Amino acid sequence: MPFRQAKWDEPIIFEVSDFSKQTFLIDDEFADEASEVLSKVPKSLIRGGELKIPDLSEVEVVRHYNRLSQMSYGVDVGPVPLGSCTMKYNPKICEELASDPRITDLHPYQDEEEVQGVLEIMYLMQRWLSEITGMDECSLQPPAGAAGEFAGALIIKKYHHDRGNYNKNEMIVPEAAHGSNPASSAMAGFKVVKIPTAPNGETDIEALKSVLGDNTAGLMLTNPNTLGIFESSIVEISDLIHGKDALMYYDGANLNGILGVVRPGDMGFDIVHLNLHKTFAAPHGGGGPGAGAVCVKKGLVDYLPVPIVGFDGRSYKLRYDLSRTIGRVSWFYGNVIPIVKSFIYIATLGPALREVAEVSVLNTNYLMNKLRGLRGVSLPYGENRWRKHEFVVSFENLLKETGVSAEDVAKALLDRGLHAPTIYFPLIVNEAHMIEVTETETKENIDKLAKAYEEIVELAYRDPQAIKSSPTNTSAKRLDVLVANHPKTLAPTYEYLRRLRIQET
Amino acid sequence: MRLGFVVNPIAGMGGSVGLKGTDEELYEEAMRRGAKPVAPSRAVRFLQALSGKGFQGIIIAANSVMGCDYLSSSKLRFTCLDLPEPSKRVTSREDTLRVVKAFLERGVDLIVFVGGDGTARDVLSVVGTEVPILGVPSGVKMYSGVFATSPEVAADVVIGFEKGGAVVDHAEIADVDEARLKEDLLNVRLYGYALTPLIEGLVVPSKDLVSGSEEEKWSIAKYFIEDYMLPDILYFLGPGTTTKAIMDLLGLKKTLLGVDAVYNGELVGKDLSESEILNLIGRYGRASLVVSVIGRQGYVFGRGNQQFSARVLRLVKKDNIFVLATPSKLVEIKYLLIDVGDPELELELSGYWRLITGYREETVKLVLPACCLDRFLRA
Amino acid sequence: MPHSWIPNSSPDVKKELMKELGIGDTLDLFNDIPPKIMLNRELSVGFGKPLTEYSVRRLFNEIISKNRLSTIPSFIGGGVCQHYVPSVVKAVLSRPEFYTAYTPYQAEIAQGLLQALFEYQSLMANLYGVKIVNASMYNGSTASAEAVLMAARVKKKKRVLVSDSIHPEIIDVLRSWGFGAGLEIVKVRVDLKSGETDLSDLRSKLDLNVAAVFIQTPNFFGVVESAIKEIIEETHRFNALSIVYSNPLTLGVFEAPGNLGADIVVGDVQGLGISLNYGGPSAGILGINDDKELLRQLPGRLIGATRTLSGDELGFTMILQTREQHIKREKATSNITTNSSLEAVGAAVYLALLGSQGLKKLGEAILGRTHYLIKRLLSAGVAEPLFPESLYFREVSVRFRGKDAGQVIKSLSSRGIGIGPTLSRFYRELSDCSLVCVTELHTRKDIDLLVEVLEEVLGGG
Repeated sequence: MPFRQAKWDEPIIFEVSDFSKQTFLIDDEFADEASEVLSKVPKSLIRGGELKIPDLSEVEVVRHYNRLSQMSYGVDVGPVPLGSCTMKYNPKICEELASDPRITDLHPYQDEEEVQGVLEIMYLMQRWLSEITGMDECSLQPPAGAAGEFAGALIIKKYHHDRGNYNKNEMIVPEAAHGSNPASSAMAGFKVVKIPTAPNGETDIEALKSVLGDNTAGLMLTNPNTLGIFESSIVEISDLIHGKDALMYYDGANLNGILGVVRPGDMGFDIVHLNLHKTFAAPHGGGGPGAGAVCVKKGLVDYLPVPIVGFDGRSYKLRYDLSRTIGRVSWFYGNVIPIVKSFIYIATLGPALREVAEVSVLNTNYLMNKLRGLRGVSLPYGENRWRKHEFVVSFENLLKETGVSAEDVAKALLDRGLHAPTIYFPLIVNEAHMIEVTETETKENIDKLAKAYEEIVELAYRDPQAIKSSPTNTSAKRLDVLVANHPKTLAPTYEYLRRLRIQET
Repeated sequence: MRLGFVVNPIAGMGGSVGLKGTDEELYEEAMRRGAKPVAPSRAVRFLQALSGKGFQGIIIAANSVMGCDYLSSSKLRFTCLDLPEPSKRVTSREDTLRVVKAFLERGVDLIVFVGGDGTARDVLSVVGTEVPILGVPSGVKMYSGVFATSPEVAADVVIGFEKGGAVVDHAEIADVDEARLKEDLLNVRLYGYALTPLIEGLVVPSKDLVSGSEEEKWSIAKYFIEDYMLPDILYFLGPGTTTKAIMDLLGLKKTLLGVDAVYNGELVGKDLSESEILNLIGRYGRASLVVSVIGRQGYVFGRGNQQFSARVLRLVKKDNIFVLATPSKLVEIKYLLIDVGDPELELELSGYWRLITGYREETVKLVLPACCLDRFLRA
Repeated sequence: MPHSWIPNSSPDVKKELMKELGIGDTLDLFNDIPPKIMLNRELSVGFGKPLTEYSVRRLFNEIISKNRLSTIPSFIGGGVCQHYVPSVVKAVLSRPEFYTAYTPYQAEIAQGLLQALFEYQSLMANLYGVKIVNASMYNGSTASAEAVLMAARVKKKKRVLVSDSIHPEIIDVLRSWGFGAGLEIVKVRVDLKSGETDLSDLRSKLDLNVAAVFIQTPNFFGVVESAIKEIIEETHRFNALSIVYSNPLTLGVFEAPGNLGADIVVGDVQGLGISLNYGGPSAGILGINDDKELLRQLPGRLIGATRTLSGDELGFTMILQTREQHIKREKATSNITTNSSLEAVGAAVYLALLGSQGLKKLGEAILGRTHYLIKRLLSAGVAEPLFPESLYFREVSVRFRGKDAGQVIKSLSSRGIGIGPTLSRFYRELSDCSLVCVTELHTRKDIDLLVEVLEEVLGGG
């Protein structure tokens, strides 16, 4: 196996050095003024407790973090086929341009006159995202997709309240939905009603009809859904929902599968949220930052979080004049840096955005075709359906026959220098691997991934223990999750760790 | 940690040759059909996984084919019970009971058995809720909620239990009621509740959470009481731990295996029979039923709560029936079943139902009539 | 349209893939989409066609040339200010293994990122004087909202007392987020003399129905809440939770809120190695001083140290994931998935660079400049602090003696100096008031220049 991850026994920052070194130089030009002030401050307000920050030289800090980065893995290193995460290549031109001081050094309270450039970028993004989703206006304020979802749920809530329909307190969500959907609905005060997926892989319309009623506020749907299957009855579903005076909400996490091919607005959706760090190539940052956007049809524009960017024919302005706004979902205007990166991305590709969808779907089905025939692997739901940008396989049979689980297979992939896909999601599939091959993956890489799965499955039948003992080529071997989570051995900071060590000795 | 380990060597043999179990005469039939033992290989897989994960405890095992035979080659610490060897190498129910009694006498923290529902029942009949039990799946019938999904997962649970990371909760012991065996739909009967270890907090969702966590049941109970329970209505609460959670919140004691009645927060009937239920409905007028989903097969009515007969259901009407289910329970279940011996009523009641599955959370599930499943199940 | 960012868009490769799938056109894969909703035209986005990198660069430069930066570091405040971003921080955050990584769900291959986040949690927990800090929220405003929601859940009460001295935009965020959970946000008045939370008003509003009391220090007016200890004590007397928002840059000099008894602490890393970014992204700090009840309700990701299964090596992994996106007992819980890991790592790097000594000096450097600024403004007679007896840190709310602050700001801006925002933006009656922010970036000359230009604009004292 041609993969060995760096393995440094890198001390925790507090243990890097036993000595105090000279740290980053800060001037003492105003030391006199400072001590003058501090002499008048009551002792209780002065820092009393020890500041446990190590005093390291610059070289030590740089090496420490560089070594840590070598023990990490990003899409710049190899494929990260995590379903619904759309880990695509992050173009370097986006990184470079977004780091321009004429963006990074702008203060949000500068007069709009002084920041026409960034406002123009945001305005164009609002327009472009509206066009892409078939909506009429967008707010870029939500700092991530989940925040956008929450904004969407609040819009639905306020919309019904404004019309006196306080009884509309139920949000319908498919069982296969992303966990943030019911969570966002609950945060907005809704009851969540989950509906099942039919054997063909689409949302069960009969189940939907059975719960659709006067108390329905809206339906939250991802399309293509988390199985990667397109909800072909979407227009019928929209009509049903609208017929009950409820709203259609689109979870945009899976937009990569339909970009430029079909738009949520044309499917009948009223509100959309987008994840700029997924479909629009802003990097994931090891967990964040991301950037969300919430887009709506005409009748709901007044509800958007404020401010949005407006253009009066001459200049760009921050608009707060949305009469029914749900308010702010965050301070300031949005996560500008990822917004700028996405702007560069869309500007570069333009109409070629459609190619993104076509190739990501082609790539995904190509891989799916190779994996579905493997022994121990099954493709539950809609076995004759093409998927879009992602697919879900089950290792249920492998588990029964060899004892090797989906988790074990994932760890074996790591050993081959390939990041594992999402595992154990969606919950409607047992021993699931949810795999998304974005359009930035080459055929060679996809073949490599397929071959790796093939080898792992074959090995599972021959020598399951070999799989269960992986990974061995990564920086660390399997970790003790029980110890990590147990109240007695929990260690979320260095202080906890220190105390545990003392206890052990 | 002291682990009691017992294997039912003939469990599961019937499956490959088309039998529904291997109890008593069925075993002879299985042998005649050329069945091969299944349990021994499961036992070995379990022990291998346990050893591989560094189990530190001591295993108290039944002798020969019921335990010690599989331990001799492993690195685990064990001691063999000194019991008379089972005759004919064909073990019987009595052997299992004898072994488990010995475990309790010696003192164990957890009992792991390799077998099916029949074995589970046997273990329960001796253990009750004295000690938690865990099943390594090896039977044909596995409707009980004490089984891990595989021998390896069972090993994980034992390790978790050893490290103190397990929560112990009630799980159903169910088995086919041989006295009322039908052809296509097995008559699964609820025999009781055992304690079983559950591991929460793992990245990989614990596969043994068929019963559902305390927290899940509490959420359901709280929601039901807040949003659904109305004054001046008689509520019948069916068997199960989720309905128990409701009674717990109301400060009342629940008959785990039976039906209790509550009116305006007061207990007005315990462990009621069908006639007592009908009587109470007659007296109070408006009544509602609150049931939880029974067994891994997902029965709403017909298993474990036969007191809710067709007569009762006709009186109460669908709108007044509330079904509770923890999400963990629903994971394996594709559709729910009603079996009350009244096809017309079953058909009437079948369709999509809203189940209460969490705090302000409901889930739609298809409920099908036991009488005529094939009419509803499309490919 | 083949493109270098879409490797398999090249015709030969595409053909090969389609052959394997037995299709003649990629559109065959979309045949389950009702034709009437298919988009039958090109998306009208971007600039008409795919652009070369050099065209995009040029276009971008044209657009952002319309952004103006002040000639000397900006004096604009309002919760965020211009601070220094060390080159080491930029270098570390450009490491692709960090910034192109996903959330470290596969711990074994992400030990470096996990360790970096563990270190961040540890550094912040100590800095704020609390037991546990999570791996970041979106920013200080949403961290505040989550803190308030968490307190309401834990205490099972809906009323939260919020000081009116907190940044108005944060309070707006609290209202929106609290709407779903039915939170009742009650404001506590600001003492007009000190600019601090009015203790007597707080006392009059505190009762057993209050879930939490939330204060910010330094507050929106730049004033350090000197009665913070008393406020926390009062809060506890009524069995409510104390939530304190602190600027991490103060914590090398001033006492940590956790050490003063705060139950929940929040903050933002902007200024700690993270640039202004026109308001986002930054990272929100959220910490708790209890590892039992509060821990169960703590939203967001949490990294923990553990051993490898083989028992011999230290490792890191995400812990307590059942808290996440899991609808628990109470009504609203958090939906947060993506956070601000990268900025959190950036803050940790900066703290590692500064060390305990450096952070203290940085705090003193800012404090010294704050008071130099006040002295100069007063001596030049151009402005006075709104709350003359109070202790200011970094930001100073000033009054321009009857002049319209908006005009003053404009005049300064035309001279290449940025100050603000005008307080009338949030408090209509304070039209002659503004915030001024001063940081380690400002030299004595810069501050003197500001005062000089103010003298010019305001026509002297």
